[in-house]
Amino acid sequence: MKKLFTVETLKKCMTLKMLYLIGAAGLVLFHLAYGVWYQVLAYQKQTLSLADFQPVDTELSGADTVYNLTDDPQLIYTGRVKSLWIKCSFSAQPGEVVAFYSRGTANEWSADRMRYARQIDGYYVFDFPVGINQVRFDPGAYASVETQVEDIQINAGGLAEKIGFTYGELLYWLILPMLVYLVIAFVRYAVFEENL
Amino acid sequence: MSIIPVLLLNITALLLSHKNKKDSAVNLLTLLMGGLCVIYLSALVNLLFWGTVLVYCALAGYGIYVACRMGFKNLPGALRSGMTVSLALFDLSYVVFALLYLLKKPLVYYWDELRIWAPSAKYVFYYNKLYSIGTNALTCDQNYPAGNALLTYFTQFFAGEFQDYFILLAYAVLLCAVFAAAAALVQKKTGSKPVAVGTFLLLLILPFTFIYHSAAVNYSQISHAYATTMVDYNIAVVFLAVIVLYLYSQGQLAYLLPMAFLVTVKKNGIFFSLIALCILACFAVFAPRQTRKKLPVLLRNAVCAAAVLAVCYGGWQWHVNRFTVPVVGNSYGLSYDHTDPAEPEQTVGEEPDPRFIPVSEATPLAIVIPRLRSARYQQILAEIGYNYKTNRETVFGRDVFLILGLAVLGVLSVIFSKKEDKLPLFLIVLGMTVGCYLYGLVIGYQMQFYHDLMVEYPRYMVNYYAAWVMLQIVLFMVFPSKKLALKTAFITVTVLFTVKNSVLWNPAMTVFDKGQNTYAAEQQLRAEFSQVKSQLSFGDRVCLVSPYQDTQLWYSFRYELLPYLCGCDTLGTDIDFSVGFCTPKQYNSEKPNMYFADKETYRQIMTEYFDYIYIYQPEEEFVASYADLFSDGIAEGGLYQVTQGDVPMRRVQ
Repeated sequence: MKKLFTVETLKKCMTLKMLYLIGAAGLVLFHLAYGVWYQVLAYQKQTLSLADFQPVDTELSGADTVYNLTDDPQLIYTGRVKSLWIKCSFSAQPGEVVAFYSRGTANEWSADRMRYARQIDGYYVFDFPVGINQVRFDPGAYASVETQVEDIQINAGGLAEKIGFTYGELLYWLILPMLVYLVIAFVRYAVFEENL
Repeated sequence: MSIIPVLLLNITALLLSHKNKKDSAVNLLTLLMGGLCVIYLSALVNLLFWGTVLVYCALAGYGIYVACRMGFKNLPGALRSGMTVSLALFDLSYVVFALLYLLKKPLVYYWDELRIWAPSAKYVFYYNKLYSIGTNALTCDQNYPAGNALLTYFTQFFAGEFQDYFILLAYAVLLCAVFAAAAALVQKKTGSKPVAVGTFLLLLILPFTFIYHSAAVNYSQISHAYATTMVDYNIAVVFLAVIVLYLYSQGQLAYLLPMAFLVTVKKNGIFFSLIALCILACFAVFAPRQTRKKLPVLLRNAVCAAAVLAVCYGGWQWHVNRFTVPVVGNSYGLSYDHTDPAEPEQTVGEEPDPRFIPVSEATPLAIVIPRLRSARYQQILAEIGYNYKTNRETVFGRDVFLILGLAVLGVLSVIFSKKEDKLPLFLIVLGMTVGCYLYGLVIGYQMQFYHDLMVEYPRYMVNYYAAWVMLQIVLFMVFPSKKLALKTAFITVTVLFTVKNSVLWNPAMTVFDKGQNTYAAEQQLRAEFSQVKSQLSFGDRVCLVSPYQDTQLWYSFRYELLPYLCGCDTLGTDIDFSVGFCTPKQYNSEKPNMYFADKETYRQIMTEYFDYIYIYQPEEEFVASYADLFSDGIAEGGLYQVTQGDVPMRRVQ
C-alpha cells in the first residue's frame, strides 16, 4: 500500500497515456455514480398535466392541447426538476423544441441555460443540471401551431438514461487529459524546475 | 472501411520514418499531400480511378517491400519504435472524430454545402471522375476546384454507399494530420513534449473559440470548422501545412505538396498559397545559415514553386476548357424573366439599387488603385470596414481586437527569438497585419461580382484569421528560445480561457450532442426523396418541379438523388432548371424567376433533356399550365416518366 503513493508512481501516472486511461475510467465511474445517485437518492418520478404549467404567449385550447399565440410560446413549470419528458405532436412543423432552466423561481431565462431535446420513444427529453427549481418548455418557435400533448413526466427514465452518457463527452475525453498534462507540465517546470 | 486509408498511411509513415529519420506524423502528412497531388493531376486528365489505385498500390507496395527486407517478424517492433507522440495524437483524435461522426451521422443542410461541397464529393465518389467532365460548365461551376471532392474520394475509396459524414471524416484526416505535423515540428525545434502537446491541443480546439456564441441554431453555425463541409477552414489548415513542412525540413521541397493542394481547395486558395510563399521567402532570404549556396537554393525553390502553382492553377483552367460540354444555347426562345409585368416601371431619377451597379469594367488593378473601384466595390468595402470594427461573430471578440492581439503575439515572438530569426519573424507579423487589409480588398473585389451582400462576413474572414492564428501559435512555439515557462503558461491560460468561453463548456451546445427537430425534418425529407431512387437506373436524368421555387429544397433533392442526375446539364443547354416554368397567364404572380414556356415548348424541352420528372407538392399555377401533359393531370405529383407519346408524362407507380 505504501508503494502506491510514492512520487515515482505519481510521476508514472502523469504520462499522457496514463492520463487518457484514467480519464476513460473516471468518466465511466462518474456516470455510474451519478446514475445510481439519481436513481436511489433524489428526485421522484411524477406525471404532470398541462394544468400544472403556467402558459405564456400560449393558450390552453383543451385539456391536452396548447395553441401558440406568438413565435415565443412558453410553458413554465415551477418545482424540483431533473429531467423533463414530453410526448406530443404538432399541427405544423414547430421549429426547434427547447427547454430553459433556472435555479430560482422568478421566471428568469437565458440562452446560456437552455437544452435541446433528445428524442427517445416519441418523447422529447431534456436533462437539466442538479438543483433546478423552474423550467420552461417552448412548444416550437412559430405562432399558430397547435401542440397535442399525450404525456408529461418529470424525473422519468430508466437507469440507462440516468447514467446519461453523451456523444460530446468523447470530445472532452480527447481534450481534457491533454489539458491536465499541460497543467502538470507547467507545475513541474515552474515549481520543481524540471527540464521538460 | 474508411479506416483502411488511415491505417495504410500510418504504417507507411512509420516505416518511412526509419529511413528518413523524420517524425512519422510529418511523413504521414507528406504522404497524404503527395497522394492527393497525384490524384488531382490524374483527375485533371480523367484518370482519377487509376491514379488513386496507383497511390494505394504505392503505399501498400512500400510497406510490403520494407517488410520483406526486414522480415515480417521484425515488423511490429519497427512499427512500435517509429511511433511518436504526434502520430499517437493524430490517431487518437481521428478515432474520436470518426466515432462522433459515425454515431451522430450529421447531415449536410447548409445552403452552400448542399449546392457545392457535398454534391461535388458525392458525384466524384459514385462516378470516379470529376464533376466537370461531360457537363455544362455553368452547372459544374468553375469557381470551385476539386480539392475537397478528391480528399473525400481518396479517404473513402474503399467505402460502400455514400453517407453525408464521409466528407467530414475526410476533413478530420486532413485536420488531424496537419495539427500532428505541427506538433512534431514544435517537438523537433524545442525538444519538449509538453509544448508539442500544447500546440496540438490549441490547434485542435481553436474552432470552438471561433464563434461569438449565443445559442447555436444549427450544425453549420459551430465555427465553420468541425461538422461542416464548408471548406473555408480547411484552407487555413492546408496553409499551415505548407509552413510546417517547410520549417521541418528546410532545404527540401516537401512543402510544395500542400501548396499544390492548397490551390485546389477553393478559388481563393491561390491567394493563400501566395501568402505562404511570401512567408517562406521571408525565412529563405533572411536566414543566415546557408549563406554560400543561398542564391541557387532560392532560385530552385522559386522556380519549383512557380511551376507547381502554374500546373495546379493552369491545369484546372485547361481541364475545364477541355472536358466541359460547350454551351450551345437553347433554341426555344425562352425568356428568363425577373420582373412582374403587372408592376409599374421604375421611375427615372430614383436612386438605383447599388447591388446592381455594373461591374463589367472592373479589373484586378482596382484592388490597389482606389480610383478604379466601382460604386458596388466601394459599398462592399465600406461594409467590410464596418464589420472589422463591430463584428463579434467571427471570433471570440471584435475583429480589430483579434488583429491587435495577433500582432502583439507576433511582436512577442520577435522579442524572445534568436537574433537571426528576428527579421523574418518581424516581416511576417507586419505582412500578416497589412495583409488583413489587403485580404479585405481582395474579398471585396470578388464579392462585387455576386448579387450578395456581406451577410456571411464571418465565413469570408475565418480562413484568413484562422490561418493567421495557427501560424502565429506555431511560430511562437518554435522560435522564442528558452522561454518554455512562457510558452506553457500561454498554452495553459489560453486553453483555460477557451474552454471557459466556448461551446465545449456546455454539452448541449456542442454540435455533437444536440438533438434536433431540423435534423429530423431534413432526414425525413431525404428519406422521401430517396424513395424516388428505387425507380431509376444509373445515369437517368430527373427534372424536379419544386413548390414556389424553394431553391434549398431543390438543392437538397439534387444532392440526395445522386448518383442519378437532377439538373446536372450534360447536353450543353443554358437553361437553368432550378427555375420554374409557367405559361404567362398569371400576371399577379409573386414568383421572382420564371421561364415563360407554352405547353408545346415545355414538352419539347422535357423530352429532350430528361428521362423523368418529379413533382414535389404541385402548385396551382404549374398544374393550370401543364396538367394536360401528365397522365393523371398532376393529381398529387410524384414521379413521371417522360415518353414520346401524346400524353408524354406517364405516372410511375
